Amino acid sequence: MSGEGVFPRLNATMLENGMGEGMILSICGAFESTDGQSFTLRTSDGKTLRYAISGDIEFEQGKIVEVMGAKNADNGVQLDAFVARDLGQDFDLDLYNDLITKVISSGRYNDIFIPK
Amino acid sequence: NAVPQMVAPDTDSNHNPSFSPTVQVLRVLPVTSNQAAKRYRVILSDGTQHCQGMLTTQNNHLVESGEVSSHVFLKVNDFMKNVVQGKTIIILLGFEVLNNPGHTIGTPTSIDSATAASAPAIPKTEPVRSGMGMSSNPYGGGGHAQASSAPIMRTTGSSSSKPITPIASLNMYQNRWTIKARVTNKGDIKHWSNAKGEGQLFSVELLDSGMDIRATFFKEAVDKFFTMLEVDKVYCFSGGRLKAANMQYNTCKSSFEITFDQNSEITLENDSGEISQQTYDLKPISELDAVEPGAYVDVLGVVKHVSEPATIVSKKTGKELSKCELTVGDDSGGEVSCTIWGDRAMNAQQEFADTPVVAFRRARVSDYGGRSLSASGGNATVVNPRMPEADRMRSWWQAGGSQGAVKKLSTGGGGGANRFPEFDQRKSIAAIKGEGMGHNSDSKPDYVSFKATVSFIKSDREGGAWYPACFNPNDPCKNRCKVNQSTNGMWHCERCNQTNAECVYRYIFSATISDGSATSWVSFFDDQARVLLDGVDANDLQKAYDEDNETYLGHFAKAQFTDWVFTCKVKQEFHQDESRVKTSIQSIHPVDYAKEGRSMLNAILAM
Repeated sequence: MSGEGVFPRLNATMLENGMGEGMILSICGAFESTDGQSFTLRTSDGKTLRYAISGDIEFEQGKIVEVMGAKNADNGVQLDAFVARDLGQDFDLDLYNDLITKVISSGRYNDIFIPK
Repeated sequence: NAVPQMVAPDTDSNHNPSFSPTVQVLRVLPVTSNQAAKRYRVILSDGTQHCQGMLTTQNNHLVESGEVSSHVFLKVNDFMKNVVQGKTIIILLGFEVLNNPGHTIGTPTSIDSATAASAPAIPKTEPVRSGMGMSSNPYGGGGHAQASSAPIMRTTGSSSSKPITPIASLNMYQNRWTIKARVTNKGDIKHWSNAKGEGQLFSVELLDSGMDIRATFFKEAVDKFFTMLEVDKVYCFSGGRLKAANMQYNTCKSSFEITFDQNSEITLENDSGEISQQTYDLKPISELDAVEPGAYVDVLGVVKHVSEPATIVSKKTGKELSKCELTVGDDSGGEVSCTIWGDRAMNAQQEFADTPVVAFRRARVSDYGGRSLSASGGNATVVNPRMPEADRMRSWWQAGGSQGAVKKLSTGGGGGANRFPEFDQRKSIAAIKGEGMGHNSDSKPDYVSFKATVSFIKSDREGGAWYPACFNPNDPCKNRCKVNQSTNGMWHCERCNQTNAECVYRYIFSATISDGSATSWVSFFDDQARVLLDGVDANDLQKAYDEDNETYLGHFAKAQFTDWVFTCKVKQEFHQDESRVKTSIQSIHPVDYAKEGRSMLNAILAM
């Protein structure tokens, strides 16, 4: 599903179901907590994921961000985080969640969202 | 045995076309009363029993001509039954005059002594049987036989010992009645003071199983009954006077109104549930275009949108009035704008939040904006009423009614110029040309809404992106009329004839707006331009033009490529021999991206 500059947009459930294996993926959510070396993210479907900080990431509690990362099974984390992009305070995470589950990954519009 | 049948408790009245009994008129008696119209009382007999009857004044001429007189036979086609002080009176509404044998047939006796109080609960057979038994007695006349009659059976069906008259049976011929009804509406106490004196009153609407009626309490009756009567409770009312209903203000079904005074009697009754909460004669919204403006309708629908409340000055009273517009849709596919007035308008966005089902009783139909409704005050507008139709409406809404095609009876222009265009009401810029907008035969403008981007602003208009307007803030100018500058630098207004040293600058300029379908030239006027330019006043901008050109240009640059939801007015304009379709901005609303996104997602999922 990924190509040049194209990354799958997931939430925690989709990750658990095995999507995004072995590739860079995008997950949107809100920063929850940090211990300096890792942080937790409350994803758009209301679950929590733990990331290892690999890169320059400015943590701010409650800030809604898009985290680019990749799956990582070691060190007590689920993913490595490379970069977090600020999405602004009025970002509607519910709408986003509906978008990625009901539209993008529904399969109906693959010709729009999936590069050939 | 026609008389017992006519008088029997469960013969409601006249709606049985197959029951047209033949009776003999024993006597015709004029009724003396203090009312102007002369009325005639009759004694009707079936040969075995006789009862009281009344003629309607329309038939008075038959008595006066001699056609209806003692001993004539009548075939009664249409009658109404009334109970007064335990006696049943048959009001003859329609009958045919048959022959007149000249004498009384049989030896009929009065049915009243046999039946006594005819409350609805009595089974039909009992009183009739004893009456029949009596009449076979070979007594002449009526008097003595009645004295030694069977004991008077006084059974009652209601908790009070008085017989209850249905509101539908109330009429001017009887002035003593008791009705049992639910208070469906209660107005506020009103005080008046005029040359004749002063006083107070309040009105209520009463409903029983058949009909509703308006009743008014005056002076001391207000003190006695106002706090006692509660909406939705059932009471027995007696001691009231009837008069013809004033149809201008009265929207109840009865053709009468009741007046109660301090001698009236009102008692609280148990609510056995036979009287419903409210009767509605529901009109589907899609059929409102066939309703005459000024008529009253009952409507049930889902409130899809609530506008911001606004305050206007009433042209009639000169007072400030609050109002708010609801967009209401029902399962007929119709959608209409309904205005709420007063304090309720100020709280409307909370009261009508979350798309409730609302019943509007006696909403007035207007041709403003095509068709629109004006809600009645008080509790004529009920949110989530308890009625099966409301449940059905809610089910329709949730099963997809919210997405269905909609027939709009109120146009965007009529619903308030600044109303936010809902997602499903929008078109595209290409529709302006594509649908041939602005070419109406009566020169009426078309209105269209869409989300678009401002692609270019022509700020280098000759004279500037503004015009000088009259300094006069009052009518007729209101700071809007163009003024001309004279040689001494003064500004003169031809509309109000004032000359001022100052003028007020108001925006006027052209711009292009674009969306995915097309681009169009549009005109911006002051109110909308101010929003576009982030609140900058034309007067300030005019100063910047002279002093600091870069800041001036900066304001326009900032507005370029901004997104808005526009409502546009498309109209033909005539200059000399040419006519052109011109588009101007009627309203401009910022884009709420999350809200738009949600609307778009819903639309995608519904595809």
